[in-house]
Amino acid sequence: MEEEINELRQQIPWYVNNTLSPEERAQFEEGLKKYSQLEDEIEFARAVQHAVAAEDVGSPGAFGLRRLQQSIGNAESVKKAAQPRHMETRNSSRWKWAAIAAAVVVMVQTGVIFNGPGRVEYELLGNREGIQSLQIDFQSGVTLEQVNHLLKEIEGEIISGPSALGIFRIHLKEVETDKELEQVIQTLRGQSTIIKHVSRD
Amino acid sequence: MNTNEEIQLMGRIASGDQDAMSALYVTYEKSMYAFVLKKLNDPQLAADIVHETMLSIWKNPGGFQGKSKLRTWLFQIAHNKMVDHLRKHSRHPAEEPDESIVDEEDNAAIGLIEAAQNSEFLKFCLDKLSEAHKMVVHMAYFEEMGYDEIASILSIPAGTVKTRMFHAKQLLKKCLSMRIGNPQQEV
Repeated sequence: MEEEINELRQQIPWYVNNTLSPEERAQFEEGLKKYSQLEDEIEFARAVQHAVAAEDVGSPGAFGLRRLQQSIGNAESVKKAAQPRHMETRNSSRWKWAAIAAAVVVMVQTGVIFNGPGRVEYELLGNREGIQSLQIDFQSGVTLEQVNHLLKEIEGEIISGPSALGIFRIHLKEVETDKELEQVIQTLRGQSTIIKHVSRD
Repeated sequence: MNTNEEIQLMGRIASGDQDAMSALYVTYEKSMYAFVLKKLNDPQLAADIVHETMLSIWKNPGGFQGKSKLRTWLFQIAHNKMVDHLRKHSRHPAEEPDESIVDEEDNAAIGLIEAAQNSEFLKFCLDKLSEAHKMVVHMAYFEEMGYDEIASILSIPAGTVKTRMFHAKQLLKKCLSMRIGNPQQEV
């Protein structure tokens, strides 16, 4: 009897997560009729399941996807360089796609500075020293357009990113004091539809 | 996604369809990241392992032959990459749990269920589990995997998965009992 109960006990997690085969499930439910003391254990397992399933661990999300697309673009470029010329017409749309992804990365890593109509200058932001900066993790699904709009609002420039975790480092051009920096952080924290996390760099 | 859809998706990836690769990423990235993070407990490293796994799938999609679920195959690759990483960096790849604990059922079931429903207590006790126990609990309750699938991903017998899960439950009960007795006490 004890052996039978222990066998049923070992099946509880898989009964609770609904992955037993129909035969195993029927057998388990048959056993449950005989040993009603297992009901408490099932309830305990459900409480654990509920807590574990509710855990929100986050993930790199959209920025991890961009990182992957960039790596795929690089891998494909290497492959393309190694291919004979007559093969190049195949999958041409893939190269167009890779070029767009690469352009986004270049924008992110250099920063685009708008100097009035018709004039656009590029600068390596990572070279700057002594700057006030933030770390921002954007929500999944945020578009580049939304990011650019936000940067204009706070007069910010992307110094680097996204990191493996999707973190961008942002330079705030007009912020000099800690108080001003804190105000910007508070403002950004109010934009929870766009920003997942913001902190001092 | 059923098996046919999984095979179709992998076929598109094999033909160089980057939209299909993005679809695969969006479908599995979050759960794969949670799985890797549970073992490595390092968000940056977990993101790197997911990235490497996805990239290796792009480079070698033919490895999937539809013999297992796509998720099982993906998680096996991620698991192998974790093990490789831990070996390279001189960390023991698989911390073996202490299976010598006494299997005894206690009589304070109702109190334990209440304690388990206290998310703070339960989180504390889940964190106290060994890495191997945490993994099976996570895979069973977060990923909702069967014992066969877990066994296949971790390359261990199905019986070991069941035993680990059973011992994890016993350890949780023991920890929760102590929390009920003294919530301030470090177990």
